Amino acid sequence: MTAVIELRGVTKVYGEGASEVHALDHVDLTVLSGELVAVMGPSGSGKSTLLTIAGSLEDPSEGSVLIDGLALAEMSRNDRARMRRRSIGYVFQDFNLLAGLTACENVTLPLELDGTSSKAARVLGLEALAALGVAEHAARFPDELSGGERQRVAIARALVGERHVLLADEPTGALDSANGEAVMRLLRKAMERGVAGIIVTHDARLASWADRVVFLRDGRVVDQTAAPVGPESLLVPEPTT
Amino acid sequence: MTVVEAAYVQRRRSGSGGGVAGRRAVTRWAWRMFRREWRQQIVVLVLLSVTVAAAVFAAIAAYNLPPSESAEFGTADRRITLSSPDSAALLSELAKLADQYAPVETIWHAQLPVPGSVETLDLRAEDPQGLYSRPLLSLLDGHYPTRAGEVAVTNGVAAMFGVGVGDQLTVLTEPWTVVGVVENPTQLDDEFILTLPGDPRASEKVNLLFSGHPDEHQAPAHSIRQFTTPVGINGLTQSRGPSDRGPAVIAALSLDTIALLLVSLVAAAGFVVVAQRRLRQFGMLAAMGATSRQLRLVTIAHGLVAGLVSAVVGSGVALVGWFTWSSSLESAANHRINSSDLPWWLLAAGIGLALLTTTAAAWWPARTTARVPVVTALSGRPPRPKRAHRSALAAVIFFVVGFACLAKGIDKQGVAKPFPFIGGPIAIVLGILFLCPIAIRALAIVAGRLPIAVRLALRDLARYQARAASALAAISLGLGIAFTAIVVSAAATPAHDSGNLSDRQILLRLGDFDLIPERTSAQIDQLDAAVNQLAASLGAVVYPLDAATSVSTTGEPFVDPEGRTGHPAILVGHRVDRGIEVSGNSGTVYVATAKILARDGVDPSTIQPSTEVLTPSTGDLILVDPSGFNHKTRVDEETSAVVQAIADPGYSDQPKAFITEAAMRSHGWVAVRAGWLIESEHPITSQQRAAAHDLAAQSGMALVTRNQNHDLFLTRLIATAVGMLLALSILAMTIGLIRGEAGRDLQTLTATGANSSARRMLTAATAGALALLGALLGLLGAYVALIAGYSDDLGRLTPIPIVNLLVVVLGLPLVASTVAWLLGGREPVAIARQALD
Repeated sequence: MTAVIELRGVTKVYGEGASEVHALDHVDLTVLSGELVAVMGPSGSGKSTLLTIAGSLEDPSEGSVLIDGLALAEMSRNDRARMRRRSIGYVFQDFNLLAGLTACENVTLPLELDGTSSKAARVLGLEALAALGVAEHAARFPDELSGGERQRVAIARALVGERHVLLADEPTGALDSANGEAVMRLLRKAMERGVAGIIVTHDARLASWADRVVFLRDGRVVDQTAAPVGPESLLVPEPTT
Repeated sequence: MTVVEAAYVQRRRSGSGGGVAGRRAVTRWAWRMFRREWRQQIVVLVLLSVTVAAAVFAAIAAYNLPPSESAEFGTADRRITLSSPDSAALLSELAKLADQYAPVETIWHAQLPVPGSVETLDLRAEDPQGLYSRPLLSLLDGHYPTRAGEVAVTNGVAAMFGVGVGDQLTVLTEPWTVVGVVENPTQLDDEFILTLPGDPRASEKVNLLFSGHPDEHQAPAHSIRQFTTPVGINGLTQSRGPSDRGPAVIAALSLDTIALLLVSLVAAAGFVVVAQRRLRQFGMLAAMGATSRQLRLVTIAHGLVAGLVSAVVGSGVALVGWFTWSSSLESAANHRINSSDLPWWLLAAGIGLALLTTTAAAWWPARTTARVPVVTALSGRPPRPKRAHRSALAAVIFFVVGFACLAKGIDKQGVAKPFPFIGGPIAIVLGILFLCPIAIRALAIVAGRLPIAVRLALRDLARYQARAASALAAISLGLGIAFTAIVVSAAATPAHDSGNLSDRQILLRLGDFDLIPERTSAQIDQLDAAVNQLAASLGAVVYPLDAATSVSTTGEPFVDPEGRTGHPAILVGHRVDRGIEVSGNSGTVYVATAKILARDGVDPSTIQPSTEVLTPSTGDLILVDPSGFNHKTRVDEETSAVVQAIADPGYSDQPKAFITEAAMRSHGWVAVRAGWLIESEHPITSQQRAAAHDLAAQSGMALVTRNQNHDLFLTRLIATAVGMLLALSILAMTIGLIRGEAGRDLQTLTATGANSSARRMLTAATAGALALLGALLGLLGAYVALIAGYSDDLGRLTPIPIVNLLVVVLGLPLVASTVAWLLGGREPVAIARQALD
C-alpha cells in the first residue's frame, strides 16, 4: 500500500513570546491507502491542529506535509484548494452543512466548486448518499434532518467523487451511541475502497474501529498501537518519566 | 463516455477555479441565503430601494421636465419672424421666403388690447393641421374654428373673459363665437385666441416655420445665415437649439451617483454584518476547497442580488410614482408631459448604477472575509483586530483631504467644482470609516472602571471589532447626513433679529419697489382707512410710507419699457464698475417724515442741511430716477448723494433709506403713497396675518410678513427623525448579531448567577455605546465637512441647532439603550444549539 498522508517533523507554534504555545512538536505520521488512523489525547494535546495541518487548512511552523506524495508547502493557495476539492474530505463534529443547500447539494458542492456540471454532480451525489443510506433525504435541507442523518450527509460529502483522504474531527461527538457506531461503520467501509483516514476522537470504543491509534500529549506523539486490541486498552497511558 | 466520466473530463478542464459550474454553485448558495435571511437585511434593502426609487424618478423627471423640444418650432427646425406696419411689403417678402424655403408654414399674429387693462392678447391664425405646427396646438373642448367669426380660446383667456364654448367673446368691435378651448401643449402659459388661417385681423406679425437643409454650406439658398430683410420689415431668424434634456439628465445622474455612493456605504456595513455572520460557513467552504475567488463571489453575489432586488423594487416604485404624479408636474414644467415617454436607457443606467454601487459595496466585505484563515473562520472566532495606528493615520489623511477638497470645492462665484465637491464628502466618510475602529478600542480601554456587564459589553465590541466598526460606520454616516441637514437648515433660518421683517411687522406695499401704481386721492384715503382699521384690530401702530417720484401726480401716467404704468420710485444705488447696483426693496427711498424719523430714533435737529439721504448703507451712493436715468450717457456723470448714517434695522425688507424733504424740494420730486408699515407690540399671529392677506388681496396690495421658513423647521424635524430611525434600524440589525456572537459569555454569566438584569445591561450597554459613538462621530464628520464648506464665512453656520443636536446625541443612545434593555433579557440559547446549521 502507498502512503497517502505523510507528516514529517511537523511543528506548530501559536502566539509569540510569553504566550507562545507548541500545539505540535515534531510529529511524524504516515497514513497508508485504505488505513484508518485514530488520534487520541487529552484536550489541548494538538489533535485538531494535526488534522487541520494534514488537511492543508493550516501551515506547519516547521516540517512538511505530503498528500499523495506532493508537498503542500510547494503548492500555491489555489492548488491547495484544488487538492481539498479533489482529494480531501472533512467531517466535523457539528456536521457543518450549509443551511441554504439541500442534502444532495451539500454533497455535490465540492464537485461543483471544482467545475463539475450540476447534472453530473447530482448523479455522483445521489450515489454517495445512497451508499450511506440517506438517498431518500436528498431533497431535504439540513434543518429537516436528524443529527445522525446530517452526519451521514457530511460523510457523503467528504467521500463524494474521487476523494481518498478522509479527515474526521470527533465525527460522533454530537451523536448518540447507536448513531456513533453506525457512522464509524460507514467510515470503516470507506477505507475498504482505498481511502486513507485520520479520525480524532476521545472515545476509546470508537477508536477501536481504526487500524492504528496514535496518542498525543502536549503536541507530541507519545505512543501508538499497531492494531486495536479493544476499547479498554486504549486509555491514554501515563507519560514515562 | 458516461455522464460521470464526462464530468471528470470537464472538471479537469476547468482548472483550479472551478469555472462556470463553481461560480454557479456559490451563486446559488448566496441566493438561497439571501432568500432565507432577507428579513435581517430589510434596513439595507429598504434604504437601497428608496434611493433607487428617488434616483430613477429624478432621472425620468430630468428627462421630461425641461422645455419641450417642439416649443416654438413644432416639428420644424428653423423659424423666421417678420413684422411690419406695411402689410403689402410683408406679404411680398413672405411670398419670396416661402418660395425660397419651401415647404413652409405660416402662423399669423396680432396683439389685441384687453379692455380695462394694459395687457394685450395674442390673436393667432394657425392651421391645426399645419405642416409643422401640430405639436403646438391641441383641442381641449369643442372644435377648432371652421368659419369666419369663430374662435377657440385658451383656458386663461376663457377665465379672463368668463366665457366658454358657445359663448360670445367681444374683444374688437365684432363679437366672436367661442367654439373650442385649446392650448399650446409645449408651453402651457401661452395664452391666445385662435382664429382661422387667413383671418385678416391677424396680420401684424408672421412666423415662418420650415426645415433647414442638413448641410447649409451645400445648399446656400436654403441657409438662413445670410438672411436679411428689406427696409421697413423687421426680421428675426431662429434655429432650433440643442435640447435642454442632456444637461438636466447628466445633472440628475450625477446626483443619483452621489446618493447611491453614500447609501452604498451604509449597505457595505450591512454586507459586512452578513459576511461576518457567515464566517464559519466560509470556513467550511474553504475546507471543501473553495478558492478565495469563489469565497469572494458569495458576498459579491449577495450584494448583486440585494442591488437587483432594490433596483427592481425601487424602479417599480419610481414608475408607479411617475405615472401617478407626472400630470401634477406639468404646471411646473409649463408643458404637457407624456408620462409614457420613458427614457428606457436612463432607467437602465439607473438600475445599472444601483447594481454597480451595491456590488462595489459588497466587494470590501467579500475581500476581508475571504482572507480570514480557514481555521479561524471555522472556529467562528473574530480575526485579531488590526493595529489602530494605521487606521488613525488613514483617518487623519482622509479628513485633511476631505477638508481641503470641500474648502476649495466652490469657487468665488459660488459654482461647485465637480471633483472636489464630490470627492470631499467621500473622503470625510472614509475618514470616519477609519476612525471607527479607534473609537471602539478607545471605548474598551475606558471600560475597565465600569460595572461588569457594561465592561463586558464594551470589550466585546472591541473583540468583534470588524463588525462593530462596520455598524458604527453605518450609524455615523446616517447620522452625519442627518446632522448636516439639521445644521444647514438651522443656518439658513433667519435669526430672531434678522430676516426680511420682524415677527411683529407687516408691510403693505402698493405695486413693485420701483413703480408705484396710479391711485386717486380718494382711493388712497380709502386704503388708509382700511389699513388703520387693520392696525387697530392688531393693536399696532401704522407708519405710512411715501416714495419720492419725479413724475407729477397730475400728469400722464409713466409707462416703463416693460409696459407697466405708474409712478417710478426714486431709488438709491451703489456705484459699481459698469453702472449702478440697486438691491431690491432696500433700494426704495421713502420720504423721511417726522413719524418715520421718530420711529427710527432720529432727532430731526441732528440732520445736516445738506443731507439728502438717511440710510445705514455705506459707500458711494447715487439717487436714481428710473424715469430719466436711461437718458444719461455715463454713470460716472451721476452726482453722489449726500448721505447721513442711521442705525441699521437689520431686516432686509424694512424701509432703510429716507430722503429729506429738503432734498425732495431741491430735486423737484414729489411724494406718492407707496405703502404702510404696521408694527405690533406682539408677534403677528397666523389669524392676523390672514386678515392682512385678505385686505391686501381685496385692495390690490402686496403683503410682506416675516418669512416663517416652516420648510426649514420641517427639514430639521425630518432629518432628526430619519437619522434616529436609520441609526436605530442599523443598531437593531447589528446588536443581535454582536450579542449572539457573545452568546457563550452570556451563558457563562447566567451559569455564574447573573440574572436577566445583567443580560439586559449587556445588550443596553452595547446598543447605547454604539449609538453614542455613532452620534459623536457623525457630528464630527458633519462639522468637519460644514466648516470646510463654509470656511469663507463661518458665521453662516450659526445659530447652532443645539436642541436638535442634543436630541440626537443624547436621545439616540437613551432610546437605543432603553429598547435594548427591554428586549435583552431572554435566556441564552444552549451552546449545543449554536451549531452552524
